[in-house]
Amino acid sequence: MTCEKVLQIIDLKKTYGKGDAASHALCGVTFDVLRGEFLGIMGASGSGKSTLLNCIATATVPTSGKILLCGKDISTLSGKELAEYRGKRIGYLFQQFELLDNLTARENIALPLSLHGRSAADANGDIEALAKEFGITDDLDKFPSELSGGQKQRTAAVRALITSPDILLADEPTGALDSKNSKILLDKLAFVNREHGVTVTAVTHDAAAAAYCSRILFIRDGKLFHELRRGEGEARDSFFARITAVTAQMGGGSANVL
Amino acid sequence: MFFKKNAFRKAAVGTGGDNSLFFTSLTVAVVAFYFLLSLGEMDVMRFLAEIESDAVNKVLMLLPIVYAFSLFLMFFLVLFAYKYRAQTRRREFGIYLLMGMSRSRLFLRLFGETVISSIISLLIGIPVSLFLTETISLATARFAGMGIIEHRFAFSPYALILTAVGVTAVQLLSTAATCISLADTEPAALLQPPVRKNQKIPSRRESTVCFICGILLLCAAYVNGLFFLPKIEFGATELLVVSGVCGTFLVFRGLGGIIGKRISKKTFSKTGLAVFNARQLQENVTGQHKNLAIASLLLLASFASLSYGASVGLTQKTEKRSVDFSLFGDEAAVESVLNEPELKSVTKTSYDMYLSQIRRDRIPDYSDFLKFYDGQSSWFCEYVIALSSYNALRTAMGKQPLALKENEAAMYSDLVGERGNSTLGNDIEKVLEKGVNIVVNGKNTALLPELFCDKAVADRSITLFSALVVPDSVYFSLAFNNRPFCKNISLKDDTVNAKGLMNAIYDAESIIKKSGLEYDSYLSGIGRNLFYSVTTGYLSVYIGVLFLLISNTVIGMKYLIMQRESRQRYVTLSRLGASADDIIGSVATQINGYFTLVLSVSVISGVFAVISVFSSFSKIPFGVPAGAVFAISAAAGAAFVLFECLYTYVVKRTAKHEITALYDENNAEQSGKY
Repeated sequence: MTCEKVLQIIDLKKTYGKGDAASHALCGVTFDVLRGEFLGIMGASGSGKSTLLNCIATATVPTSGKILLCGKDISTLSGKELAEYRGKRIGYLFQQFELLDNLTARENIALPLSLHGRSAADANGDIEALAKEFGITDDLDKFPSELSGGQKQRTAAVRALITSPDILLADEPTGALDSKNSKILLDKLAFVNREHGVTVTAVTHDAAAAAYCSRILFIRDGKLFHELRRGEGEARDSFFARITAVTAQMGGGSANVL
Repeated sequence: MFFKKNAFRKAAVGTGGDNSLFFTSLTVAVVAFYFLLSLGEMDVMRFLAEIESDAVNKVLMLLPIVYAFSLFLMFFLVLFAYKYRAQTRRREFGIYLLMGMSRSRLFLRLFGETVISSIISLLIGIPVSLFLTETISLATARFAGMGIIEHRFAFSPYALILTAVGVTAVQLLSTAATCISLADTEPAALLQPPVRKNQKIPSRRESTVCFICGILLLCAAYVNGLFFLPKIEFGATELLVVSGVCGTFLVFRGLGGIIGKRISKKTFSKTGLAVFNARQLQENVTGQHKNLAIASLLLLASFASLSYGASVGLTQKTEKRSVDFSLFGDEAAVESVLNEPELKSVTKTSYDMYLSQIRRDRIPDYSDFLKFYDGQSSWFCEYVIALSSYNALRTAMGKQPLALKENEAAMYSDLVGERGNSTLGNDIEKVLEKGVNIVVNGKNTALLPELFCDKAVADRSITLFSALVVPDSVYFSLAFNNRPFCKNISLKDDTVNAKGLMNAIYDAESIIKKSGLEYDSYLSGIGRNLFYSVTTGYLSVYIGVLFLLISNTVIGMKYLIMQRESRQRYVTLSRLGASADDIIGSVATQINGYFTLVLSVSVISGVFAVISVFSSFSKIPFGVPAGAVFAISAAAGAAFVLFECLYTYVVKRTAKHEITALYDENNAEQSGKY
């Protein structure tokens, strides 16, 4: 599907509990994600960023507001349509990889395809190609217990991308990785975003990871309160410094960047 | 706080879905124990105690041993149920410990809950047991035609006490085992869902070697059972058991790798959750191969016991009725009894049975017979029966009397039917059909081409391996004793039809008993037959059912425990786009595969086991069609398979319930909204 606005979030609200015990995780968030964008969502713990991602991934239902994927309201999806949405329309990259430990890497990658009618045999070419881009060709026939953390997360990334989803959602993709493997993963994600136009939305608290994005939305107390765009040709270091300044001020720093 | 009544009682009882299997297992234990221990109180057994008191007493003396054996087996069943339950409550235990409860207090609480569970299981199980034992008692008596037995409500306080003690003991032991496993577990670990340990998948080569060796050993066991066991070759039984057991273990050990090999080749081109299902099955088999082998062997024992018990119990033939009573003693006394109006009115015929040992100097020459019969190096009929007596017997039975010329004789044996030695009977008849002669009193005497087996007396006052039926004149020249052996009586057909055989004989026997004469009664034979049917049938079926329940509980509970340990995988699948139907279908496929693997090995082995048993240890009685025996055996086997299908269905339902709850929990707000 080639829509300009892949994702539209319109006045999204999410409240847990009722009355005096109510907790407002999202308080009316509105933004769009354009095709080919690498969007980062940053915020402190409890800011609502994970809730936002969970709403988009249909892991939780918003209290009000709309989420449109290529113009289609996902709240209208039924059981099978919902399964297809999760399996084909979005790709999800979990913080803790969530590979099935009794399947090989190849079988894990093929799983979303086979769930929706395409056998691993048919898709073997695509699997091999994407695995090559992520540097895990030699690991395809190993079980997760035989892979390092970085290899697991890259396998999970290939699994998330194998169905050519409209958007890749990444929940703290480097949260369980060391710096070296984090860099490898982020380089790969940036590569597929740049070369293949894959739209990525990543939730992170890591400024170094956020520096790979083309745009950052900062969320605090369930509201979007700042946006940073990476300038045309701006170096990652420079963008990282601007991100750090924003997060510092969010934490009570004196730099007046907001 | 920690022992607040309601919470305590609630914890002991638990909540519906998780506990149906748990309390079913406990109820089964209660029923199994009570049924066994109250065996002596059943109508049939009380009746048999009057007729076969020694045999019945011996069986009842065996009960404590069987009870102890059952306790041992039930312990494993209850232990698995407790393990499963403990796993569902891990988080609860972790929270108690983190909130400040000491381990000793937690364990004390668990023991307290056990006592409550025990009381509940007894409250459910005892009425079920009473109902079952009463129903079976009545059904057996009716099936056996025991119209003479008065039904008595068979409540046994002894059985109740031992059942309560046994069930509580196994539960307390299981709780102790649970506490031991919890003793070293950190509270934080308890808060986490149980995680499956990564299984080491054996190499393909190792798996293939194990699998092939296992198949070869099983084939060796089958061949041994079919061909060598009947010949009672030395060591055949031991070899059969060792090769069968080892073969089963090796087959399951190798099966994991074989499944893995198939995954690579076959499922790669399949869609849906085929690969996931196959990997789950491979993992379950690889990780549990010992338990699966044990379960398979228990199922085999169950299949064989049920098939054997049902077929022997239902086809046990009473020796064919030829004589109702044989009276011994003074002629006048016998006549006096026969003239009793009550007995006379029901007597169809009475006659002297002339039966005697042959004089040592008149033993016939069997050389011609022995030329054709390889079974014995020497042969002689020790006894002789007068033709007139034998014909009176045959006439009373409604058969044509024999016609024997002076130089003719008929061979007789009542042990062919007695010991069920159909082979011997057939061998002898094959020789007789060739037309052989013997030499009696120096004269060539032709033997009729048929072996005659109609019992000469009512029961066991005399058992004749071989005898000759000869014309009366020849009889008196051969007989050691010219006096009649006994007076045989046959009851009127009208009386038997009107009252039923058992009642008619029972009434007549009460008259004869009063006379004080020594006598033989056909009722004893019925009783003996019933005794063998009841004890063999009951005990075989009991053991069969016990093994069936234990093996199924082991497999079922193990599967459900493994499913809980891999719950995170199902969460991931739902996040990757698997629908609830996909996941439930996957679970059903896994359960089908899991149970089918175990069942197929045990059914195949079971079929060979039943054939081997009937070919070797337990001959099919002469006169009982082999087809009938195997048909009943097959029916019992079919019932076994049907039970397995039902049990698989129950496990699927429980698994589906858990998976649905898990799916809903992780898509809690999704259900019905999207």
